[in-house]
Amino acid sequence: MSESQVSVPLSVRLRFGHAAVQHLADEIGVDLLHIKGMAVDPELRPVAHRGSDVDVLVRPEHVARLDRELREHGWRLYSTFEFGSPFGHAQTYLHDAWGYLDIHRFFPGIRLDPSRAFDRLWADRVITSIAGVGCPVPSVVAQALLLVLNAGRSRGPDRQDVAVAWRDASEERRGQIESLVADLDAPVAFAAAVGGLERYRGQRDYRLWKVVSEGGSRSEEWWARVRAAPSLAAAVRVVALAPLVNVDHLAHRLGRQPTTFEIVTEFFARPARAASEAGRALRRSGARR
Amino acid sequence: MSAYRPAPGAAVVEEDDVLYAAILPDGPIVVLDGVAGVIWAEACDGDPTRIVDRVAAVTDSHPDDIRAEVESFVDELVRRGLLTVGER
Repeated sequence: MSESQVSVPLSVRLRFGHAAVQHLADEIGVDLLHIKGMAVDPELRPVAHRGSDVDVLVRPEHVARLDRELREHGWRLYSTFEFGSPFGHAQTYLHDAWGYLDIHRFFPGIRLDPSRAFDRLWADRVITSIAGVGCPVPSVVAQALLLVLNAGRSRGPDRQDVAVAWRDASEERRGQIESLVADLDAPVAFAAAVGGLERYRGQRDYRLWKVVSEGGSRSEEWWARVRAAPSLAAAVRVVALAPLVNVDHLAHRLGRQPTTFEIVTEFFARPARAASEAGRALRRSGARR
Repeated sequence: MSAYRPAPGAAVVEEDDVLYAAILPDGPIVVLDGVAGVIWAEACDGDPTRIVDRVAAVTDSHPDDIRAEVESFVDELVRRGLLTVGER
């Protein structure tokens, strides 16, 4: 019998990770759905692609409780909701035994209120066994939609999910997915993945999905986030965060917690980079005139 | 009849003929490869007083040659909270 951090395959570690998080959720009465990676129905992932972390979608009202419990059980915060992604949807933790965990407080692309969206997905959940622990997962139809929405903000291998989950799906399955797109109010992200995004040019989140699905500068991404914010207050929060240093990212780049001096230095370096980006954009736009 | 079984909170994964066990929710992960996996499987599969005989049959060994190691290993699994013994 050996305890090893290096000889345990990632696929094994991930299964235990799902089981460990579910064990904690059961103990404290937190509702969560296991999504992506190991939790995906084999029907939707015929080629083994198990991801590199554990992903769970948490009932928004339960996020704070789960966060406290995770930290009490050896999960260290790796990146925060504020700095984790352009959508601010997920927070990452790292555990010595189980590896990485992303907890999602909403799913990017779904515009329905996060609590109502979770209720909609929770209502159709099924239980799958991972490492012998019963883990709630979305219905296969909902899993297919989440894979497609996830592919919408990827330019990498996740794009292959669109082929299996959508293009190769039966007419009946496509109809079920489209019905769920309507229920969850997710037409723009869905179009970013399957095609037809230009039909939504007038929608507030069009630019954000254009940038994440096709690429763009950091400044373009920030402006897209501001435009996509569902309210003025949310837009102000995005703007207020813009000049802040991504301390999580800086810490990972340095391999340690940055000093106050380093954070201040980065604070002044970022606007310079943004200005340089803006300058390049202006020159590009001038060149087109 | 009493028997061994995975303890409450113990999770088990098998991949490529290797067993992995862990105590949830904190770990660590324990690798039960080779004979360790055989002992786990035989401990969870039948009369606990005959575990040594079953392991000996699978590994082509004489029970008296492996008795001490097998019994101490099963005790260790129980001590670590991975196995428990109770009525079937």
